[in-house]
Amino acid sequence: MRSRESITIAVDAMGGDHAPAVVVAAVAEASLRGGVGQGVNFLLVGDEIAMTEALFELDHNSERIQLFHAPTVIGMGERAQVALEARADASIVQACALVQAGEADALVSAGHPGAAVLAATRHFGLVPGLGRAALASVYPTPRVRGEAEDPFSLILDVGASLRAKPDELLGFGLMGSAYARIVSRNERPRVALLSNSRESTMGTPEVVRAHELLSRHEAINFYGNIEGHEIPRGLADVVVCEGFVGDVAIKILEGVSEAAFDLARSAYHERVAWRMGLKLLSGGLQKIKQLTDFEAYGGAPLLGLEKVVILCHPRSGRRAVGNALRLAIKNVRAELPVAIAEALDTGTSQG
Amino acid sequence: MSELSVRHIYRWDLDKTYLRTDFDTLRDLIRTALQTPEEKVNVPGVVTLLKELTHQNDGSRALVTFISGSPSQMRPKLERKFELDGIRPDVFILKPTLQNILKGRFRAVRGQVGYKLDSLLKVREGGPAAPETLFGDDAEQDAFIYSLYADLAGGKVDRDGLFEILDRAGVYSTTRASILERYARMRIDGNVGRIFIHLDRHSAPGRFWVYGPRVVPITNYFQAALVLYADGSLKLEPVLRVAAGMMREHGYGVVELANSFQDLIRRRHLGAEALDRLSEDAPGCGVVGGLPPGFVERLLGRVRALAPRGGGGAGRTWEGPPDYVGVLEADRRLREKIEAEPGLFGRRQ
Repeated sequence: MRSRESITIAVDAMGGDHAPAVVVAAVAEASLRGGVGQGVNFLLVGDEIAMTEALFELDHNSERIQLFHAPTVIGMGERAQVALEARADASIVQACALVQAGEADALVSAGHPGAAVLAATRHFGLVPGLGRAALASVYPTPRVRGEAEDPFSLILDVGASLRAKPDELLGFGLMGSAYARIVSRNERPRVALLSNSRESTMGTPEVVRAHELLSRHEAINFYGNIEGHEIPRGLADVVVCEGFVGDVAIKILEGVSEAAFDLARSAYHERVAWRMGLKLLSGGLQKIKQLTDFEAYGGAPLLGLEKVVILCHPRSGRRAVGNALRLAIKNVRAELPVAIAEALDTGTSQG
Repeated sequence: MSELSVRHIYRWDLDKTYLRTDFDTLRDLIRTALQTPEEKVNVPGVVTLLKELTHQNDGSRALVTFISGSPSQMRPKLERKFELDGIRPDVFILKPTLQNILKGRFRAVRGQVGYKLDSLLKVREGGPAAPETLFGDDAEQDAFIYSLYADLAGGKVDRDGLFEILDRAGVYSTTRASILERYARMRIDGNVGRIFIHLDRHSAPGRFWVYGPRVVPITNYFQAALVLYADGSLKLEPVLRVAAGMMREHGYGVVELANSFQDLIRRRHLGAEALDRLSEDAPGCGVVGGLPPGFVERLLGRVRALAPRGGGGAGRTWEGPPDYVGVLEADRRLREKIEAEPGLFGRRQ
């Protein structure tokens, strides 16, 4: 990890279901970590009055927080492309512009995911050698990996775009490997391709061709195809798929966890014996809940861009946004875009 | 005391306002007590600002008084620390903690209202009449005590009101009697102006709004210098010297200072005209050592580029004076709520 003097994270204060309150609260809390000279500053972008009002009531270090007024916001129900064309003064657009201008090193947003991806890809160039950026999400597994003993599998793409060509899926594999090496300190991450079968000849023509490319690439430790149920088992460290499939998969996985806890809650009220059993298990269940709670890992990095971009779930709370800020800082410190470019460069020369 | 006329009086708290002190735990307290004067660390910018404020000019001088909650046994070490910093307090009062313990006045060991208010009134009694500016922090009740002192000096709190406040604050009857006596003799001149509260704990600025715009919560002394510059109490060069010292000795950069500037504008402690004035004054200002080239331009450029519209929180209306009894009641309710929070094995004992 390279050392940097000072880092600034641009934060779309108006993005998300609970904005700006939770976003400003997360930034306020993050501003209290570390003293002067250890250098992490935050650039909150959004409605100045709303942000000021929120900060007024929060413990925070004002030395570390700068505000930039952006008068409008792109709503969740809007069509991303149309809204972006119409409103250059929207918080997500302004935040991207500030990162592009060098006022900040990274972007964090819990806003409209489509608008955030589109704005980011429009403002920031792709890492050379890549055809497409990918949104990476993590999912907890029983296996731990790398020096960081990371319990998470990385899945990409989970929705930066709908479809991907075989060579783009190969790019996802290279990016995912680089990310796992840097963040999980996992030297030889196992990369798998998500399909409907373990057979290399099964799946869409793109998946079959991507299997060929991934298995031939020397820079990738290719595990082979895996099926959906194998994601939570943690067979692979990096799961490659196209955005449409990844988005559906990650939402099902999140939904299963939530449904399991809803069932446990119902069971708790149904029978005394079950209640006692659940009481006995409560410690373990709490641990599982912490692991599977999306707020624990906060944000998903949009990989493949020349800037660090972390997107949070729109329903993120303060903890999730706070964790996303931590991830952004970690990725900036690791100079992730440069590291990915280097990994791709090495991968291309080896491939 | 010098023959020179007194143009201003600065009253300063010590721990967390002048010195970076931790006393939140017993270990912190012991460590603080054992620290040598050389080991004690100043709050960034405080010494430069103090020197700039008390700098002798125009045939007048400014007085500086320190009233601290540190025990009087610390006096030799603290005086040595002032000597090292080149600061000469005109008055330096420390708390008689040991006497309080020996007399069984345990409430007075932790309590600050009675001790500090009595000390402020005592010092005022024997001192000259001049505008006063006060500096405290967010660790204890400085904003409360200083505001009350200012309102007493302004004739805004009467004897009965003061009695009730002291009673609710749990001040011992002997101290209360002393305060009331001093109050009866008090010069009412409305001379107490700005109250700066150093946010050592980074408390929410809104917490202090109850005291009105006279109280200015500050994250660092560059902010205090900017407000004093806007008030006409400091020229630009001293402000820049405070900034230079913070950059040179404490790792501040233009970004942190610009953020601090912007924060004051956002909270409406400074108007946008402060930017214009600073811009006008900068060309005529002498070179200040320790500042990077083009510092003022970079600072102003950064604040202007990201400047808010200045319509935020502190712009809300305030009707004073503060409801001191109400503040004490709210504090008590908050403490009770915290104490009533159940611990791991049920309610706290």
